[in-house]
Amino acid sequence: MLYTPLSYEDINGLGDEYKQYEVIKYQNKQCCIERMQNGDMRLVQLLSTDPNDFLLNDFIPGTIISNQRTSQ
Amino acid sequence: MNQQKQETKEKEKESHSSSLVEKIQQLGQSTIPNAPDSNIHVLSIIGQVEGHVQLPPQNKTTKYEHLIPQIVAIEQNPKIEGLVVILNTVGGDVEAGLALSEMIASLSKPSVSVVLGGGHSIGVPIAVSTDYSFIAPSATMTIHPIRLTGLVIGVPQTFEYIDKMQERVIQFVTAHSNIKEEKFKELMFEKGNLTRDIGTNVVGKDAVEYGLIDEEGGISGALAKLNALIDAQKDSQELIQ
Repeated sequence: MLYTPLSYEDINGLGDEYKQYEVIKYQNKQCCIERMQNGDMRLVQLLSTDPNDFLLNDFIPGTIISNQRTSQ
Repeated sequence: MNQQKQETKEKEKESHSSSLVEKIQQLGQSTIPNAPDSNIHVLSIIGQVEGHVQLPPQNKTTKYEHLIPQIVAIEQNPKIEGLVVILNTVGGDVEAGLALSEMIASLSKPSVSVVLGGGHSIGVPIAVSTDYSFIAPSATMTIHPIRLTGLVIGVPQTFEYIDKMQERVIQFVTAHSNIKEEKFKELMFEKGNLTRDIGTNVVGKDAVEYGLIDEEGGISGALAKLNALIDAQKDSQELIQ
């Protein structure tokens, strides 16, 4: 049951044009990522409660994470 | 043999000192200071609070299953001394919101919340669940009745079910803030404030006036208050020992 001032249509409108995001673990931190066509991933959001994590260069939103780096 | 060993040792020394010299040349110092681990952790609740049902991807959501383990980790980690909850939410799932509120309210560590932008609907119990709450002067909180979407069976039991759900929200909010139940219900069922709905859009200053939120302010006030609460808790623990 939703408790929100938004209307039902605002929440459940057609969302086909929106990209699906995935949650992965990268360098032991949970990240929301978007898969790109060449197999690399673009960091969308860092999921952490530690404010210092958001200052790390590796976790700036938009950072490209290549597949090779995650397998290491 | 010994000579060879000595040579390699000297070479190692040289390379070590040269890297040190390089660092000093580049940075003007021998070691790069690391940021100390923060004793305060931040939980941001943005967009819709997502619960039992996954919302379509155009919604920006805060997922219940992400936050619950983080709250457990904050309670369990002795290095973390306090929690700041930052809210800019349009509400969401009632049970997920209440679960988060109860988790935050039952933390043994001090917590402070800041409502920025909006803390609507189910954001209200989350905002009041912390030990102390702040609201930005421009932020608003919409208080309105719970309603059902989709297929609704028109029987009295449906109304009773919604009423019970609503009662849980009201009980939580009145128990964790200074607002009176009558006042909260009055705001919830007010007419003429919202264009398409009954209820009230409470702005920063009014939220403090009604006793819903403790203080008007921002992040500096919140961190100062949290540090004061952490110090107070440390003092009381020392007294017990």
